[in-house]
Amino acid sequence: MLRCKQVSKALADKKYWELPLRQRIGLRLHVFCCIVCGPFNRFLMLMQDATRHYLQHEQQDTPPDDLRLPPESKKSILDALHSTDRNDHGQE
Amino acid sequence: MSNDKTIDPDRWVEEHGDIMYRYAYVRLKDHAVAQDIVQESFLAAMKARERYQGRASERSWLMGILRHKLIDHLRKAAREVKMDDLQPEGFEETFLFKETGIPHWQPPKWHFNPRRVFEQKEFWDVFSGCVSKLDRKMNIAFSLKELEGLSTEEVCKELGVEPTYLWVILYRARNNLKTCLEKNWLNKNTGKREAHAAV
Ligand SMILES: [Zn+2]
Repeated sequence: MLRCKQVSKALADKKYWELPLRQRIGLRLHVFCCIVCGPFNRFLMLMQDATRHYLQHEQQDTPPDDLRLPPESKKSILDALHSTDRNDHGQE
Repeated sequence: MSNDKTIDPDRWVEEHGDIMYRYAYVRLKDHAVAQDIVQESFLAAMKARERYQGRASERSWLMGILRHKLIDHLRKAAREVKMDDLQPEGFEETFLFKETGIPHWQPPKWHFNPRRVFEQKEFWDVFSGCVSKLDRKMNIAFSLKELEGLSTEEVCKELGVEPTYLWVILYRARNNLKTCLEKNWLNKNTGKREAHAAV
C-alpha cells in the first residue's frame, strides 16, 4: 500500500521518463502488476506518453486547416512586421 | 549558409506562422489572443535578431520566444480563472482514495489501440483539437503542468489551489481528452472509410 502511494505521488509530480532509471524500473514493474493503483497509473503513463509524442509533432507537422493562422491574421501580422522593419531601417 | 542577418518577414510567417499559431491557440483557446502573441513574438524576434546565433534552428528560436510569452500569459490567466468547488466524480469518491490518496479506478477500455495510432500524423491533429476543447480551467492546468512541464508547486501557486485539487483537475482533463480523442478519431476514420467506399 505504501508503495502504491509513493508510485502515484511520483507519477503525479513528474513524467515517468523524467525519473531516474532505477526508480523507473521499479515503478514500471509495480504499475504493471498492481491491481490497486495499476489501472489508474497505466492510463496516466499512457497519457503522459501521448503528450510527449504530441509535443514533438506540434513543432514539426503542418497543423490541420482549422488550427492554422487565418489569412486575415497572417496579413495583419505581416503589416505589423513590415512597418516595424521600415521604422528600424528607415529604408525600403 | 551564409551568416546572413537579414530577415524576410514574409518567409517567417509563411514557414512558422501556422505552427506558432496552433501552439498558442491550443493553450489559450482564444483566436485573438493567440494571434496577438504570435505577432508579439515575431516582433520581439526582429528586435533580437542580432542575438540569434544560428545555433538553434530558426524554428526553435522562434518557438522559444513564443513559449516565454505564452507562459507569462497563462500564469496571468491562471490567477484570474475561477477555481470553484469540484463536484466529486470518479475515483475521488472511493474510500481508498479518501483514506490513503491511492487512486483505484478502472479506466474504460479504449475503442482503438492508442499506441498504434501514435505513428499517424492525423492522430496528433485530433489531439491538438481536443486539448483546445478542454474547458478553460482544465486547459490552463493541463497546458502549464503537462505541456509546459511546470512543477506541481508552481502550477498550484498560480492557480491558488492545493496539490490534491490540481491532481483531480488533471485527472479529469486526461479523461475528457480520452473521450474527445476516441470520438473524433473514430469519426475521422469512419468518414475516411465512407469516402473510400463511395469512390
Ligand atoms: Zn499499486
